[in-house]
Amino acid sequence: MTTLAATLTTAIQTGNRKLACAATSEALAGGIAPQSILRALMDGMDDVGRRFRSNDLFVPEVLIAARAMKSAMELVEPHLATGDRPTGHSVVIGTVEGDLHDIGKNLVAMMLKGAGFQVIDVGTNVPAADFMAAIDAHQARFVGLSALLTTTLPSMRHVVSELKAKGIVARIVVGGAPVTAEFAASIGADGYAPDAAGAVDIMRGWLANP
Amino acid sequence: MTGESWRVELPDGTCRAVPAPHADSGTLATWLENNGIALNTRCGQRGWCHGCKIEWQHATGSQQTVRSCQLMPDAVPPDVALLRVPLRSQRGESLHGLRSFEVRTPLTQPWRRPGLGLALDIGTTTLAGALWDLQSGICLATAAQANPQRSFGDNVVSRIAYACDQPTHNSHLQQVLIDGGIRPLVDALCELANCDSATISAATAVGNTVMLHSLAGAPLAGFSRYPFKPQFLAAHSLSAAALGLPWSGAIDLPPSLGPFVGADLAVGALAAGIAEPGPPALLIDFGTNGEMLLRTPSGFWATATAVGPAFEGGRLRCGGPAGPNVVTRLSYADGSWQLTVLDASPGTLPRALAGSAYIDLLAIGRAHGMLTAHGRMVRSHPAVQMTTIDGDLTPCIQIVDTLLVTEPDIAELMQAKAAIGAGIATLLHHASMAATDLVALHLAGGFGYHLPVRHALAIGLLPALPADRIQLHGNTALGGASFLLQSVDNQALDMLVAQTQVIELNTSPGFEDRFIDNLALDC
Repeated sequence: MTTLAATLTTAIQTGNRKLACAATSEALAGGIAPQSILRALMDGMDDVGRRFRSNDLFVPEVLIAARAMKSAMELVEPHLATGDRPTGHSVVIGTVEGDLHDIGKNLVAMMLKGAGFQVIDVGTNVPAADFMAAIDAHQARFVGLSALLTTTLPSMRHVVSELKAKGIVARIVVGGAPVTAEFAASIGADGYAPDAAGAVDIMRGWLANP
Repeated sequence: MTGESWRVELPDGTCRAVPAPHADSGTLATWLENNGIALNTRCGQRGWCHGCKIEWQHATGSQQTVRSCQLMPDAVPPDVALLRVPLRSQRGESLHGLRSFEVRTPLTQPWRRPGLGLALDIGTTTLAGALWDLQSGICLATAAQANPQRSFGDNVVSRIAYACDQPTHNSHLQQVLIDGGIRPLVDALCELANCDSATISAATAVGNTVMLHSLAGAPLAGFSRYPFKPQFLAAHSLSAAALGLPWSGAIDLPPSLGPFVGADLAVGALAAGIAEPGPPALLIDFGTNGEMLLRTPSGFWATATAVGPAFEGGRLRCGGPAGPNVVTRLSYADGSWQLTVLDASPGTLPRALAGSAYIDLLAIGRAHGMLTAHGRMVRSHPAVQMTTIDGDLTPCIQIVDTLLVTEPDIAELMQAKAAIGAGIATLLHHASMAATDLVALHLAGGFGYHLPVRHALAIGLLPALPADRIQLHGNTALGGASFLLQSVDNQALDMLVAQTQVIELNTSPGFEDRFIDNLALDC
């Protein structure tokens, strides 16, 4: 398993989707525990996130790696028994109402999965009520809100204030191209992620220092 | 800094004495712009981008880099003797290629009548116009100039955001467009043609839907969030006099296809000669938004894809729009770069690389093993050097002393390329077609006009088609507007609009997959 695990991790690190899928299938056929396969894939994605954070990887490479991760995970997931699923803290993530962009949000979701979080992706163009329902249903610890357009920042402000007005305990991280730390603070978000890997760092930090 | 004039060094090394700012001069960026040194304030002076960064030097010799859109002039310390505008912060004003157009659809029933006709293409970046003698059907003059709204951001979203900020902003944007853009453009056209603007009797204006709203003074708020609610898509007529323009009569706006697919693309189909259903053909109008129209035997599919400014040189370290002293083509032989420089001034080094030169670089870089398919520079290749940039030792490809290309530049270009590729793939998917079904690929826009086709094919920017199926058109929007100006009716265009389905890429399943598929440098 160790060499196969190393292959899986490398396949994600280098964004090699074919290799990631082939190695995953081989590992499954060889009777390796699905959660060990998942662990190896997550290690790869986690490393991608770290290197992206230190400017060692660029957006295209990270997108390619995230897709390799997604394809391999789709192979593993049907084999996971309920008890095998990651039991990490759950995060509800989505793009705010009025905004349809999801490539950045999907990237954050994949990095969070790599870091062992349980990710509930509620999609794009999501109103506050739908975020609220998902937070309740999954007892989420954290919420990630994304917006790509300057013009949908007011919508992000609205979602945050609605969620806070409902008294949620889950902490909210906001991010996306036009979002700044100042804006995040001004709308009452608990955290600001300057990039996809930043969201992981913040949530990990909160877990370490609740 | 003190004194009656301040010294500002421009990217070409020359120094200008600029009248010192006063209390009403606004930010440093605004003061510079009002003195003819426009910066690349593409985020609309919100402090998010690096386009307005300038440098100053203290008497001690130490340097400081600041965001000039976030600073008032009184923040400049008195011991600073010189402000320096780096190349990447200078706003490109050049417009090569956008005045050139041709019209492929025959004018079967030309509308000959006395008077002058004005065709306008209102681009987010550039305005272009053509003045016609409507009696003879002769084009008297063409001209182009920067869209003055650029100081509010380099893309339509930043203009929409500005318009929504304050109740007065919507009409301010309109005023800026008319006073700083359309009126001077018309004056320039009339001066070239040696005629009086009061004698203009007909006008047709095209542009993306947001720009046409801005011309009409219609609220932009409907474009701010999904579901988009433009005020109008149908053909529209404005009074030139009511807009404060110096002629009486109407400005006709042809119909738009959708919120982000404008009349410019619709009329472009007329110019490209694909306005009627027929053998599969694709028109791509390259701009910061890549607009695309797919013609099929049974109708049309259209979409817009967010390309960003990379192909116009934006957000690239040494990038700039094609213009005087800018490198438009690159070749590589015997370990050195050969440059084609547009209107080179003798004795000066080229000041920027145009999008077309970057396409050459990507294709050559791949072919010679300087670049990997993921856009990394191969450290061991002799053309790749390690250079200290912003304190970090990083690989780069040095073209000449003044121009270098970095890995973040390549990453930016790959995303622009992927946006185009994913747009094409999505349209073809909706029409159940393969790229090889296309009998023709029509390329329009300033970047399209200069596109090195062979290299664009090599890196997968264009679908793999025989080069003889690819045609460069120049400004199809201006050509199409000129066609309409001289047509008895708009029937062909109305038919096209009625038969077009507009795809919103972000709601199209599989778009993300196609985007990632198209990132790599050879497909």
